[in-house]
Amino acid sequence: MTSQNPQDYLDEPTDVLAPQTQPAGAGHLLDMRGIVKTFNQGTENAITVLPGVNFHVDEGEFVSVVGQSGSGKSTLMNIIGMLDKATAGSYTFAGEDVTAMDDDEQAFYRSQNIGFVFQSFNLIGRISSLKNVEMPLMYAGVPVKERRERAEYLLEQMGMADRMGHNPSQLSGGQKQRVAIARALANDPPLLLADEPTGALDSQTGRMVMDLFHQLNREQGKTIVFITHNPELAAETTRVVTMVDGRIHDGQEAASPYMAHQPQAGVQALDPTLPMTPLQGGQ
Amino acid sequence: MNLRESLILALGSLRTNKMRSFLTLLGIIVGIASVIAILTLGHALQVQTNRSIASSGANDLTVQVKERPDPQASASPSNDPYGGLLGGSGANPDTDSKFDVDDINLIKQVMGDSIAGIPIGDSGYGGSYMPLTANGKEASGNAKFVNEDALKLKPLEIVAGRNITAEDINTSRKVAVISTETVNALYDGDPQKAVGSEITMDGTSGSMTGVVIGVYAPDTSGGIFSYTDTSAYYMPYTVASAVSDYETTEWSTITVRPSENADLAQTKAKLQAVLTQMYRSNDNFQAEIMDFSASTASFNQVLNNISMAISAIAGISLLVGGIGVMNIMLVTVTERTREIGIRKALGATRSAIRTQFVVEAMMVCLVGGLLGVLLGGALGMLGSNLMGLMVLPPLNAVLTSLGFSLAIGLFFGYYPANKAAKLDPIDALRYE
Repeated sequence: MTSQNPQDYLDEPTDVLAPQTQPAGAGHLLDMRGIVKTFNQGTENAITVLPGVNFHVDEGEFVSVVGQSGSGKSTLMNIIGMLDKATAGSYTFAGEDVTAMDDDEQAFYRSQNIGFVFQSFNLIGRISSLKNVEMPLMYAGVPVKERRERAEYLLEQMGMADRMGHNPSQLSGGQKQRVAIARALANDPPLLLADEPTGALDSQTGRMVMDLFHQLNREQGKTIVFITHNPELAAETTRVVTMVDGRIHDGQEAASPYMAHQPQAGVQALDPTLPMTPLQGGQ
Repeated sequence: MNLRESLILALGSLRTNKMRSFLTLLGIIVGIASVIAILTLGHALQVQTNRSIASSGANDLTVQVKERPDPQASASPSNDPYGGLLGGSGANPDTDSKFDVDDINLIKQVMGDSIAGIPIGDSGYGGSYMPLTANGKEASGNAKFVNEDALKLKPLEIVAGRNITAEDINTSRKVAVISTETVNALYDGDPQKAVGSEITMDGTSGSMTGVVIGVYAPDTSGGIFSYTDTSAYYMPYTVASAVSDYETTEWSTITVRPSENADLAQTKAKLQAVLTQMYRSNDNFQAEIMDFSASTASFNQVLNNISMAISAIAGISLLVGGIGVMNIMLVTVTERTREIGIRKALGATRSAIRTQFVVEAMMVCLVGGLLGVLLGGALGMLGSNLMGLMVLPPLNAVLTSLGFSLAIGLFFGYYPANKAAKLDPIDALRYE
């Protein structure tokens, strides 16, 4: 689907289930160095949210980002998602320098490489599920017929085959989030950027959505950056990144990446010595 | 994201807010409808007037016999085109130089289909006042002594009997064609009773009794040039001497009525050639053509200008409608801020967002324009029907107004659309 770096996808489909194929840091999918974000720059209200963040995600990783409100994780996510520009620092995605792109180039690059899943679903209410899923394909210039086929296929995959013509207002929260995930997958992007995707769901539905992410990570090799408040869900992921005051406390690999992928084994993977635990207790 | 997609998106959002869309459309509908209605009525007036002009003889070629310009004279009379009409310096032509009935027949023969006829005796609205008596009753009447073409070329309908024929003229029959008004006064309104009955007219030099051969109905087309003297009655010019001091069998001025579908310039050139030939051996006089088609053209021009001016005033309401469109588009952009954010996050470029909203504004205006054309066309056709002649809205007016409404959509839609395109995706996504 995406052509920016074919090498990224060549070795992805078959072996992702095997734990030994987890990328060993050779090619970071996204690599941020010295990212600074200052709001209201040049005024007396200037506030620096990110003072210089280094952050990288490897292909196939399922990284969770945790932190208190105001810790800068949303700002980081906006920059990862190319919705916002860093004040300073470098950001390369699949080897390409995205900071050099203008808005429209970023818009296209975003549609090809990043699928968003939001806490509040962010579906467009007055059009059908199918049309919602078709939208990223439309902006990527995919012809109408292929667009429809792809959207139908994705909704079927999400178990939403019988809800394609429904508007989002006619769907439950879990169904909405499944439509949103189908939409995020529309252009088959290598990265899924999920901002509290279970935050608005009850625990059972949240569990189902979480399982879906594990499945996508495991079976389709999707790299996932997952922002959450929920320590249990964070603990299921391959790596947990904690943000405090705009700085990253990184490197907490889950005990067993392979085990961490197993949804039912998620809680077992939680290491009580993780520094994030007391932090989350404080929330 | 092509134009078709934008159209579908735009139609979708028009459907979502039906009431609001309609109210927005209303401004455009009223503007376009009034422009189209005015132009249709103007067109109707013009068509009707031109018909009226044609039937009243404004396209007639007036042929006048004039003295040949003297090469030695410093001021040539022919330099003054109205010299003859205004009784200028030209000498009166002698009898031989005037047109007689043979000349007229010759011209008709040579000109063939390109002319409708050469009416005689019906110039102007006047006539000789000669009251009529029949059945012991008296009615006022204006006698017109005409040839067979005169009545035929008037927009009058013969409702009973027949018209005056060439034979009536040639054999000097004392026959008359009278109006329905006269029939009302003398024959109790029964045309059948009138036809064939005797009628007496009191002339300036004696009275004459003739036979009614036909009854005409006055012109009711209602054009601004139509005028019917309802007391006029028509008789062959060859019987005029019986009741009047003058009998005319030679004319220094005749009018030639071109056929409706003939090319006026060609007809004129051909006629001039014929006349030149006829007067080739006349050393003192020649025949000149004067036509007044230029005044018809300038009349049309004035009418056009009036239509355009009124339309432009009506067009101001379009401006108001356009501001309404801009207003509602600004509301729409604000209302759909979050959607714009979502679309941007999903890869919509600025130009894709801008196109979507501009197309939406243009769709509102185009739909409004189409409805306005339908409404204005219907009103215009109704109005023109009431004026007596139904015409369709002029095609170029329809196309221009549709183009104009699209332009309004573009102009007033661009600012809101650009505002939408420039929204920051994060702010837009956070917007509640």
